[in-house]
Amino acid sequence: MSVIVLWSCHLFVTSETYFSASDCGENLLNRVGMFAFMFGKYRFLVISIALFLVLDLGVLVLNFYTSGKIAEQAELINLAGRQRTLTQQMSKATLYIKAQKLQMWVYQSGLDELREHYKTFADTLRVFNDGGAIESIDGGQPIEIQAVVAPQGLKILEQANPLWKQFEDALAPLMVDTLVTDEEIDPASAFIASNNAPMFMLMDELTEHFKASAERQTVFLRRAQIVGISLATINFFIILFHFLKQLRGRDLKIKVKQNESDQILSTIGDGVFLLDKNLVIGGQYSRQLETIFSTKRVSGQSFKRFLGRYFANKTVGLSMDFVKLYFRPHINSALIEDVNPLKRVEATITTEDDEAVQKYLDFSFAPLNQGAGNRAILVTVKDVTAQILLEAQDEQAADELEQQMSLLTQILPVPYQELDYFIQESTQGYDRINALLKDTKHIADNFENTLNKIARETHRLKGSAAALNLKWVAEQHHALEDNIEALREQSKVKKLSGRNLLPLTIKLKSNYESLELISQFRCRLGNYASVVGTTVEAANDHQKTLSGHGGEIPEIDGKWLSLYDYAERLATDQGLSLDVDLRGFEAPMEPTLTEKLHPIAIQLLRNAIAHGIEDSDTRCRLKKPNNGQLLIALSHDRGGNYRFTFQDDGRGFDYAAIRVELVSKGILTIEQAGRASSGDLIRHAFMDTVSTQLNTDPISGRGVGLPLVWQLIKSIGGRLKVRSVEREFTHFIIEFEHQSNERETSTRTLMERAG
Amino acid sequence: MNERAHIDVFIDGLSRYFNYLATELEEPNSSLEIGAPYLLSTSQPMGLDFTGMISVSGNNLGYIFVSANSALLKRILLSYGEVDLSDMPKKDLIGEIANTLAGNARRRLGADFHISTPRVFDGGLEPSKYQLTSRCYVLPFRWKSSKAELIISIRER
Amino acid sequence: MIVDDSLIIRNKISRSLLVKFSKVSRAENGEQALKMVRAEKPDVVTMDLTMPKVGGVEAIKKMMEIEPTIHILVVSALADKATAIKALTYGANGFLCKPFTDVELNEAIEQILKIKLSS
Repeated sequence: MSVIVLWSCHLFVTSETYFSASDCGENLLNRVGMFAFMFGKYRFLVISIALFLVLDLGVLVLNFYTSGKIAEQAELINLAGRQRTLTQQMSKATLYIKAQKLQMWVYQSGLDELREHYKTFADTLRVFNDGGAIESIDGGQPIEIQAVVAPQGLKILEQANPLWKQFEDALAPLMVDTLVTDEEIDPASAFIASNNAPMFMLMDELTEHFKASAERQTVFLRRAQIVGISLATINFFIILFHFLKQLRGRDLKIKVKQNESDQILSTIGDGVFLLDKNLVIGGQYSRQLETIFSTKRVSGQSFKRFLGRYFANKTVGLSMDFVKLYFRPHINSALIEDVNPLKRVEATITTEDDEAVQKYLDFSFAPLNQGAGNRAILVTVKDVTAQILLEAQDEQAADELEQQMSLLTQILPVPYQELDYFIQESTQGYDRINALLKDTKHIADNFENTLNKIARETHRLKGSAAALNLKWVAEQHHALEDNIEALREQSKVKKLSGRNLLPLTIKLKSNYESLELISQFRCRLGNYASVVGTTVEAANDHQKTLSGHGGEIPEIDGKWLSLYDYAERLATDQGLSLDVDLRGFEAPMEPTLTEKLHPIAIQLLRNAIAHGIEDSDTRCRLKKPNNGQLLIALSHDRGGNYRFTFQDDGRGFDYAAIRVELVSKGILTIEQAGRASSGDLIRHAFMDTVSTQLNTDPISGRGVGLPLVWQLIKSIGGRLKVRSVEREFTHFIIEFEHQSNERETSTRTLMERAG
Repeated sequence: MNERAHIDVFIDGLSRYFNYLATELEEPNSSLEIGAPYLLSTSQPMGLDFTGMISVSGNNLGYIFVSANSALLKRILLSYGEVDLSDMPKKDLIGEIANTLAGNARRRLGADFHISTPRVFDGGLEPSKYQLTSRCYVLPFRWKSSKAELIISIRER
Repeated sequence: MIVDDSLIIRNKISRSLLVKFSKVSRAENGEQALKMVRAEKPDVVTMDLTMPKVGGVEAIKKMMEIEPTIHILVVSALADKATAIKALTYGANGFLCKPFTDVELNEAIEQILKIKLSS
């Protein structure tokens, strides 16, 4: 019996552990949920177990009830047996009393014994008939006896009762007092002697009857137990088999699913894994995850440590805070994807060959409810490196396109001849710079000289670009100048290697390329221009807008005309106002002449605007006209001797500043500088790179403007005179020869200058 | 990576090779002097007496030539203790230098660069034979006052 | 209730919310917002993070102390994810990135209201 109960308990334990795999059972709600769950899917199992219990319990109750009955029956057997004995003992006691009395001995003990037997017999018989309490045989404890109801028992009692009545009548006189007379004992003795045997027989029959009845109940109980146990066992096996079948089916299904998910996980294109509520990576993840992170250490790792291998601490901390949000009940997970810090993040991944690789990764998170209030996060990792690089390239291409567009808009207003000239001039300039680089035999020796030459060339090109308002090109030249400046600084500190020049060369190449681009635009524009004839219109426009420049308007050559625009632009940038007067540049100008003079004019113009012309307030104080007055004039003697004049009414040379600059550059000692005449100082300003301007910008201020002018004058074989009064004016007069039949001027170097 | 970084990789490769020579051959004074890099348009002849060529494909397209004059190669061969100073070992040598460059570049530049095995030829190169950028970088070198050049022409696809 | 230091945003959100809600009140900084939460006990708060005086995160923290069952939608630009995550950790229920459309805002508010908050 107990074994069965144990089994059933065991069964319960197994099933409970089975459920607990998906159950945390923390609150009542969960429990209710679990019961509903049990009565759904596991109804058969639950009913079977209940039935098993009922059967077990039934057998137990029956067992208890019947064994009680059997115990009672045993009492009855004992009692009936005692009645049997009592019959004999009463007879014996009667005989004893009679014998003692006969010999005149004491019979008192016999009488007591008789009376006691008599009473016990009477009580027991009464209990048999009517039921009630009686002392048990062995303990003397009172026990409750039911009245005999079985027909056979009743029949025996029916015979015993009248017989006992006669016993009572016969023995009654002996029960009264202590004195027994012969008249009292003799009839009693005679009655007992004759009726003792029948009473004994009856009591014996009763005993047998009780025994038989006990026997029957025992047999019934045994049978009932066998049936109950059999049923319970059958039920147990049914449960067992059903359960095993279900388990096996489930295992099979799980195995199939496992195979499926393994297959899915190994073929899926992204890194996929699960995070539990402790933020530990689950056992199953896609193979791609190993590929992305070049590692097999994935499952069971804490997400924090996993991220720590690839990302900066700050990113990891932020990500952990973010992921935790998915487990917070107050958060709507659909509304937090935007703050995901692991979107397009750069990870440093060490490959199997110990090489660090940069990858861009995209993590996305999706919460999964696993029932019973359990939550996990499905994490998907995508390698978006290729995509991001592609976007970067597109962006770069877009940037380039934008630059080209802006270049195009800058080129459009430039007259073609000028553009052609600019392209030609720039190409030659770049070629010269490149040649300078190429001819550098030993960088260590005197490279500064080469750098200065390159700087001058660049500065000139920058001027031309700015004159045509080709800002983009001017900026590129400015960047190139920055490069040169940086190299100059470096050369002071250490010996330069060819490697240090590499950025310069790369910049030069990109400038060449820009020029090629401009050239391409020029070709295409040229095609349209031949149809429309924009050049003429543009020139006419200029003349209309310039009608304010004094009485008659001579038809000025296009390239020189653009100086008005350039001057105005530069002046506006500096917050200055200018009146520019151009004389002697009437069209048609000889291109070779323009080629010689135009760069000089541009440099002088820039110089005048950057250093010469004062702002309105200062001019007002000095009683000068509000607008700066510039005169650029060209005249000749018809014999090929030309005179180019550039005059401004600005502040003139700042001799003090030049002195300071020369001393600080170590060109002159303080003493020398103090002694130097104004003529010496101007000469230095043309020979050495001196700039009195503090900030550099694309207009001027690198101190190469005047040396460049000197270079240009030398290259056309000219002579330069400078007249300058501080705070009043500066006049530059350049005299040179030029043969109008387009032959190259013989390069005679006329080193003559006036202070 | 930008142009500068690419060129740096090849300069590094070359320096590495000559540094290796300096330590291996115990000629510590034989340092490599790098000259001013300049540009060369494809209409001009390029290269010196012997040239090794690596071609680049992938995201970047182009060529890297390493060209040296005969004297330089002869000097190196002598340093190795080579007695045969004919053209054959010189060509082998320029091939070896190109190989070093290619190996270094493969390691450093990774996926953006597919680098071919080097090819070697006599003399300089004929620019018209290759699809070069309109201007190539020329990086002149000197080793024991003999000349070599690295000619680089790479563009993004 | 709308908390944002930009008048344009406040107007935009309130236009869009007046369809669904009977009363829309506005605050232009955290301090003002806290006073109004005490006085009006709103159902939903849209909250900017970068504001003068009491900032968004601080305001959310205090609001949760005053009214633990309040629904808060953070409406902010994505300049600083760390601040946004902090705001969500302290009790905001969701995040909407500026700029947004009316539809996005309404959907976000609906999503927010789905969450049952226990005090």
